[in-house]
Amino acid sequence: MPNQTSPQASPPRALLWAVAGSVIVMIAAGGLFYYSSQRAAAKRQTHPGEVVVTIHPHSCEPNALTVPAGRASFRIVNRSDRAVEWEILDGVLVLEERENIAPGLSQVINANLLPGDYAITCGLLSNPRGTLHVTPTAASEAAAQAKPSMVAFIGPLSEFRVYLSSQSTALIKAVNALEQAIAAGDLSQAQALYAPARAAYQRIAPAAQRLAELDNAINARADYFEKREQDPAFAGFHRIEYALFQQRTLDALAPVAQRLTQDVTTLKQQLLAQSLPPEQLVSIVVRNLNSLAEVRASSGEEERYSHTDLNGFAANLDATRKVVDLLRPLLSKSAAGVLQKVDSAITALDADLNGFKLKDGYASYDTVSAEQRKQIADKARTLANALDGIDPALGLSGLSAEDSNR
Amino acid sequence: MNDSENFNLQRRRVLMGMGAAGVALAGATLSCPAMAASPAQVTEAPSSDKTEDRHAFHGRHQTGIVTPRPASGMLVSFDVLASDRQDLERLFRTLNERIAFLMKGGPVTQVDPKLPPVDSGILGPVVTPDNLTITVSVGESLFDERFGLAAVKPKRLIRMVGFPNDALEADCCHGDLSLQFCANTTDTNIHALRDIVKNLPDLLLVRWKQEGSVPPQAPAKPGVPAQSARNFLGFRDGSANPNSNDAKVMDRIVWVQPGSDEPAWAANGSYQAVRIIRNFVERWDRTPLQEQESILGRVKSSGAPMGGAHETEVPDYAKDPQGKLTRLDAHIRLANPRTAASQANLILRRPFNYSNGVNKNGQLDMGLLFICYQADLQKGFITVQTRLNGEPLEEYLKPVGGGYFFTLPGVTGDQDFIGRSLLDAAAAKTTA
Amino acid sequence: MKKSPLALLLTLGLLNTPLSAFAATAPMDLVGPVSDYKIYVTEQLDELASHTRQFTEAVKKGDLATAQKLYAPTRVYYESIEPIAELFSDLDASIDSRVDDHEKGVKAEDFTGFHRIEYSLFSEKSTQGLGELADGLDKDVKDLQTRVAGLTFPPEKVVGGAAALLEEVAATKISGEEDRYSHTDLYDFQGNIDGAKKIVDLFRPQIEKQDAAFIAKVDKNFVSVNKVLAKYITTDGGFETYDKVKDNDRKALVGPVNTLAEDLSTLRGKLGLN
Repeated sequence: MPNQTSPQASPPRALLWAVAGSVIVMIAAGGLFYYSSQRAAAKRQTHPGEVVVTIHPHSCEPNALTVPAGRASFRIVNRSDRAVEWEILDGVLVLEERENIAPGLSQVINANLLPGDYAITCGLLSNPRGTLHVTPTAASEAAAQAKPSMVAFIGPLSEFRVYLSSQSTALIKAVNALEQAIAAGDLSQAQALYAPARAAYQRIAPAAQRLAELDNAINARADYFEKREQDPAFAGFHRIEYALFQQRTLDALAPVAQRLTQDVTTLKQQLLAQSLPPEQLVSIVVRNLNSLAEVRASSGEEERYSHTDLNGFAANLDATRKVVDLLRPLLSKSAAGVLQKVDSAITALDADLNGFKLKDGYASYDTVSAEQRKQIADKARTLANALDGIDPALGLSGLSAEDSNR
Repeated sequence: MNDSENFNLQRRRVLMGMGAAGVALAGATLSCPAMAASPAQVTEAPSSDKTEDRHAFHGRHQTGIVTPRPASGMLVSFDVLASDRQDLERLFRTLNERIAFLMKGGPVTQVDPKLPPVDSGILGPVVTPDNLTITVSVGESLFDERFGLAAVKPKRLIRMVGFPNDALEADCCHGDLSLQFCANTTDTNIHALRDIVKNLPDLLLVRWKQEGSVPPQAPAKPGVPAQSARNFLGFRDGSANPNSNDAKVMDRIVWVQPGSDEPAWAANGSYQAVRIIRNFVERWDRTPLQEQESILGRVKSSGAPMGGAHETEVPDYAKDPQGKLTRLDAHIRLANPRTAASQANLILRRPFNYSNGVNKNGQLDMGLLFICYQADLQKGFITVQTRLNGEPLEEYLKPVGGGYFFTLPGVTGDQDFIGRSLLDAAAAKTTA
Repeated sequence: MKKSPLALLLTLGLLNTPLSAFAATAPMDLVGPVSDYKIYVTEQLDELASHTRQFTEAVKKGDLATAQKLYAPTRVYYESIEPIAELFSDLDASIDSRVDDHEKGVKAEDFTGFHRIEYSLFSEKSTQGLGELADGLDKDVKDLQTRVAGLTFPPEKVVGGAAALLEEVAATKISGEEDRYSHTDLYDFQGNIDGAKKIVDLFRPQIEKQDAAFIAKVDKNFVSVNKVLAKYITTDGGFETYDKVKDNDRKALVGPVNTLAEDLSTLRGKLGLN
């Protein structure tokens, strides 16, 4: 065709830019409107005080709670006749817990909660669980958007996972050795192998204790069972401990040991399968040290038959040190003051425990006086408090708002 | 359109050289002006109006150091075959004569056609200077027992010692004498090399040579600083070079000064460090741009320091003590940390890009012919390279050759010749 | 072709977005693969340590035949994790440097490690005087284990390691220059490839999320490379010497290797890592 086709007439560039610009402005305006209406709603909400939960022998009341996201306080009143622990569970993982709430007394648990649905325990392991519904707020939504760089934590979290892997392998080996001594009928060998196996466990206890069911099977003490030491469900380490150090017999222990081996093997798989967000990395050791400070140091109930508590405490401190060392580069850059406090608290607790070292292992806990136990508890508490400073200093809680594993 | 109008349209198209194919082109917008009426022939010599550019051979300093670098360079290292100092003098005098001629240009001496011609003829019967400079430097090995020069060796001249990342190949390292040829075109350099080789068959043996080039650009607009040429990593190379037009700066950084602790004859000379640095270009081209820039410490497109807009901007490391903007191990930051102390380690870089062949793995053998000048080899190149040891850029580099040389002082006039002050100083020492 | 204003707008919108179109992988999703990789590297180093001990024992005993036999299978454990080993450049140099890295060649005092021992075993055909070198190699491997244990693996180094391994192959294994005395390069070649594939496999779910077609292409090229290498597996599960590799097979390797190098060089970017 002889006539030239007219070149495609495109709209003037300026017009295209203007349309694009106005669309962007509209979207931005919409977002702004949403955000400000949410903030207004949040302001209207009343600041929650404590949420009271009463634990009865076979239930808790209320057993359905609703709180807004963010910091919440729960007052747990123990109206049953035995010491109880209270936990907030996220699926199989423990988010917060308080052990050993004495009968007739109450304890306050503070938690920083993200939106979602959780379960709460109600005393005895056999009691039905309650529910906890956490509603989103403008602040939790904003935090989810904030997105500071999580990339810096990939390293420490990966290293911790590697640590869990190799320590779990060591635990499996130690429990295996214990099982074999039991199967061989060698009581004194089994007794000798008990403490090393417990130490291996205690080195990963902060992480293991997130896995409620499994940890109960491995680590539960007699008090959590209705029939205590006689309860058929009483198993795991402490059932073995009871047999080795109180009853001094290996009768009927083989299946318990076999089950324990299976359980620690499962523990390794589950520890590796669980994702651990940054704030949990610190909060699990804080929780572990708090239970040491509040309960385990003074009571000596953790290893009530073998009195090898110090062995466990030292291993808990190893785990704490691991976490601190993994975060050390970040801490020395962004929270040097907190790091200093943490380091000196570690040194103090370490020195205290070392004072009880013998040629082989640690002094038997029944020889440790109440005053000495208080010293240990105090130092553990100081360390836990120092560690508490890490989350706000590094902004860990804000990080995984997007990445929480629900 | 009627027939006659059609015919006129056709005729116009033919006149415009479009012919029948012009129909399809008719609707398109012509994006470039039509070519000149007489297109060049296939083998016509490319034309240049710069062949008569020349530099004065005489001067306090040799040329080719602070001289603006042209597009072609070549560094040739020689073994000196002279047997005694007399021969050595003959070598220097001949070199002097040849260099003076080549840099000036002029008609080639014609000889009887039954004889081999005295000139290769590459540049034709009249040699054109084409911006040629030839810079003469001497290696540490020249000061061995052969010529009795040991007593007057420049204080800091040593045989190059490999750095941790080096993979030095013996046959492209060191040498008694180096000649640096620079000109607008490679052929001018080659012509000059062949001339010198032909004139000194008994006195010089080529040990190794490396040619190189730099990509030309359109001339800088007035008022806009000229930009450094790019290397084969695609980055501008030579940003932050000291100002070669500032005589005071050059006296401080490049030229050995009279009255320094160097032998008196060495005044107005300089130390020359040559490094043949292979670049792993395939691997570099597979590296994310962000990473390339953070390794070098500059923005690739402009040559500006990180966060800057222009190549000439100076990075402010005091404001960036943790290396968040420019990494602490970025190439430019290690090479020149810009502290008060590191001011003593400045060097004048004058490199070329080289492209040789392909290696047995099918990867390209190309990289940087690095050449730098400084008054103190130890405080200059050796200190700077030591700072660079272990830098992330090393993943992409492999120094395979080069050497350290001392660039002789300039030839001051017709009574002087290249190397005269060295020979006189040695003679004075021997008679003393 | 006329475009609707909306289409034009969208085109313009796409043109205006920054070119980093890859959403960063959620950092928590990287923790699993990065730690799994460290566990893999630790296991490989354990194997390297025990195989090296056997190798150096044979060398020190003067058992030339056994030492020659153990040389290449031992190195595989090093080659598979080379990017991590290279993070410790002094150890990499003392364990794995080649003769060209040293100006004085075989005589260089700092030429130690596998290839220096290889020179004696395969070129000089002797185990004489290798005692110190053998002990040194054992010590260096143990040292490497300790340093790796203490190293927090940066995720970009882990992911980038796949590309680094392919660069190794492209730059040194195609020509058969790595093991120039023993010609056992194919072992090293396979080690590099296996190491790269391990990384790809660990991050497969994350990569697939970003670009499923990409992972299919990468898989295909790994298959091509492994197919050619498999042609040279001997009856005892080792490899033929490199001089046996036919020219057309060498060429058949180069294409997929270079393509893998190109493709894997985009891995970090695709996962939103630096």
